[in-house]
Amino acid sequence: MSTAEIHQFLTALHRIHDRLDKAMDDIHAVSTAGEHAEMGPSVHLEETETGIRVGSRYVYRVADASPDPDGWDLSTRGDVCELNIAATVLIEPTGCAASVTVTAIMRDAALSPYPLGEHSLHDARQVHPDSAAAIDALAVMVEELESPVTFLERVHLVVTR
Amino acid sequence: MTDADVDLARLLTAFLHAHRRLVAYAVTQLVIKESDAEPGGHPYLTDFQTGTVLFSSSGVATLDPDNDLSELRVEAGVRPDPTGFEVWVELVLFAGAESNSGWPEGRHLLHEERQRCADVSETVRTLTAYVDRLVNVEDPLASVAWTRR
Repeated sequence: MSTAEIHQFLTALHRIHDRLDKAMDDIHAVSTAGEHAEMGPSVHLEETETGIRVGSRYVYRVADASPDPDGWDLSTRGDVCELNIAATVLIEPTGCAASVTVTAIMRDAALSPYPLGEHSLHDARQVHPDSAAAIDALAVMVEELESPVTFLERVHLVVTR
Repeated sequence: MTDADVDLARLLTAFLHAHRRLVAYAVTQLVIKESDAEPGGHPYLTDFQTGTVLFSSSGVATLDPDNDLSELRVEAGVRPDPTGFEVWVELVLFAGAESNSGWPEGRHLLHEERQRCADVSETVRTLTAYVDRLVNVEDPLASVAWTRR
């Protein structure tokens, strides 16, 4: 019986993965070759003390293009900001927690009003009794998430062309 | 927590452990001495060929990243459908156009096991047994006559 339910959960997670992937197209539209250092979707799997977390994670790195005006030599550039977007479900004996988080890690304070270090830009969490309810909630939370570009704008790292 | 949640957690945990073992295997066994191999690995949620859902993991050693991008790859996968799971492992050589591996350009399957499983318990047992056998293959590179250019 659980086989069908597991298939439903993974299919729903797959849709969320695709939804986040499409949302990241917005960043492609505003990024320049110089600043877009690295971006990629990945499956997030992590054991915790009491359960296991599964979901999607996207990392977008904004790089300092100044050492190489053409922006092609990645080896000469340093990351000035990293934007992490994670949509996960934590499965535990006491319940299942859906969460969507957006975190910026600033590495060059001169380019942003934010100080160096890690800053939470979005943190939405809901606890549900089972994984089916949690993955449904996660889908809604991802659907309601602002465009990733707005988070880059908040840390003043969108280049206006 | 429902029975399905317990099974889902077991499946995900087994998959995570399989992934870790494949990456460790790539790092310790697939790297050819004095090559420019760059070992690593990632879990995936999508079958890039069909666009359908699956859980697959690979441990990869890119043998000559500056030149022909030949790769040795160990892969494990679990493809769910409403009535069961397909489980598989593979050891694959992707020979580049200018590879000096002794193999023609393209994909070469060096080891493969696959089976359809009806439930999570059978899936976890099969995946674990497959990965056990895969990572215990001695001298996995014996059939790849790779020499550094």
